[in-house]
Amino acid sequence: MTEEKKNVVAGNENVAKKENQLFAFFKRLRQRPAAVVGLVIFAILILSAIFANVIAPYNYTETNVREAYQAPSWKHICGTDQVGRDIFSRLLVGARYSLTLGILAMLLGNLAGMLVGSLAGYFGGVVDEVLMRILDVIQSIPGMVLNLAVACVIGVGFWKTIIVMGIGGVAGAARMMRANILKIREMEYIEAASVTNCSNAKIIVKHLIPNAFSASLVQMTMGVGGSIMAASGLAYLGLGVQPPTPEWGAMLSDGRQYLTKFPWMCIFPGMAIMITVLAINLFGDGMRDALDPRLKK
Amino acid sequence: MIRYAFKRILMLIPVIIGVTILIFTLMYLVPGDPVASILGSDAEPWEYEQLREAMGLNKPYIVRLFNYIVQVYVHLDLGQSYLSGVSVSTEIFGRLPRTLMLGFISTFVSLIIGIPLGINAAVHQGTVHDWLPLSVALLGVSMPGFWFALMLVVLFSIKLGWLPAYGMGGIQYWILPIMSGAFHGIAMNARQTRASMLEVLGQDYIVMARSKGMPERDVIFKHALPNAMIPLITLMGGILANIFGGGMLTETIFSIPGVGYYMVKAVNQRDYPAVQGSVLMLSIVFSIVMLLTDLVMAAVDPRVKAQFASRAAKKKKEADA
Repeated sequence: MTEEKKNVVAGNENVAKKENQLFAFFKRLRQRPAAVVGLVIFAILILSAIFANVIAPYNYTETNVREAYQAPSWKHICGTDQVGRDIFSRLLVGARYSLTLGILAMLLGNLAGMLVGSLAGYFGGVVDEVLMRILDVIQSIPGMVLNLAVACVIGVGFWKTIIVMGIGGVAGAARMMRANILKIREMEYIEAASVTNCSNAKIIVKHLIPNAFSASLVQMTMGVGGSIMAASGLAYLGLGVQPPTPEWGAMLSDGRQYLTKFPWMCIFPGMAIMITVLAINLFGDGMRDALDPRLKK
Repeated sequence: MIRYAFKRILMLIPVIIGVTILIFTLMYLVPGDPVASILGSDAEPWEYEQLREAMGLNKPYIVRLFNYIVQVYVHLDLGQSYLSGVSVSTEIFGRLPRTLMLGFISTFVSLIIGIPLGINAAVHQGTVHDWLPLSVALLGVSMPGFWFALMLVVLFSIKLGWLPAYGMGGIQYWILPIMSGAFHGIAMNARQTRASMLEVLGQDYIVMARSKGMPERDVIFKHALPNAMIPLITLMGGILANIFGGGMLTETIFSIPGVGYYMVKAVNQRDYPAVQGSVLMLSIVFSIVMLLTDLVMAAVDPRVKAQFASRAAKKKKEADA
């Protein structure tokens, strides 16, 4: 009975400690106004994506040829496109696509990268050597070129673009994960786990990954913005999300042929991307400073 | 140092062969039948078989891969375009100078503008010299490079009419592409230079240099800057990947007939030998540029040099014993 009680107490302490850390993190984050601004903008973007149907002044698929090519005005604050759809309404709905795409692509790339990186970092030796040489090969292809080649194989569209972007992110995530793992592998608690007959799989999943994960949190946050930007480039080249899906990159791609006369069709989707990525970067910068132990007071 | 360089150059060979295998495999996996798309739907079966054999597409994967590697590295031939029948090598080598020029000038501009901005920001921390360039740089890393290029076109070509929006010709045709190619790099360089300068300026040896009465100018340029450069050289890998990869978008927007533009067209037309050739060429260029960056890093960073020297000495000792 005493044994059990001790465990419970230890468990509670653990929870309390974790909450404490999180609390301390938010406290430090709050001292950085730029990070708070970033977080607030990002929250607003997510809310407007969720409630897009309620906020949007028009239906995003509704065409109205008589109101095509209208410049921004009080009626259509971002103007209308070639078939008279309201660009502001499309941007709101597009936030759903772009944000989902950015987040899922980042998660996919990082999860796969983590698996590869932790295998390489934990086993070392031949496994490490082989995996690292493969990553060398992948990373010697510039990111956008690789994305284009993979899109050629997988195809176009919203879900396929997520996979393309995810594959593009694997190598970088794996390398970062490996570096973190190499650091963590030398820690006493890993030695302790392995001495007490903990299996390799369990050590990787329960000890290595969670600790290495928190070390790469900042890069992962920034990765969402990177994915959104890269996906918009792919869409612009016609190999990402396809119009009429109102994803921001697809809207840019749709508007490019009207750039000369009706530039707002390109200006506003790009601004939407910029605001989103800016918010993510502001938050990421603040998070890095808040997590940096050297800056703790 | 020479041995280090030599070793790095040797290491490049397996990587480039690896890229060849990877890209060949990717193109092998692409769904669709190039023979059918060349002949169209009304071709006779025997015609189909004949062309398939002539193109070598009836052989198993491993044989085709081997043939491709021999073709590329022994005969230095990237194959022929499915659509135009023109040699891919000729097309790519004709276009490469433009891609290289755009890439290198953009990189150069991003360094000579980004680094001084970063130094100035770090030295005048908290003033307008700091927050203004830094805010612009933050916007710069937050916008897609090709969108910035489009906005440059809207402003300088369409609204003001100062510069041509696309095409080739004199120097005025290069200004917008280089501006858009370099902008992201300028922003990244300025941010990194500022961050690492601030870190270095807090070190003890800077305090020491100042307290012995060294002029501030010398403290910054002789002590702080060389040390702050090291993370910057690491960052160059990402910047170069961005410039050479993003070059495809820049070339497409400004209709510059470079390798990137060629590749985008080839991908859209499903012209696989052309895609393979351009990916390979862009990767080789990128790897060589990265190699040069690494060598510069080894030359600049005494730690890398020392590490290599000690390893070489150790090996020599082992060999002697």
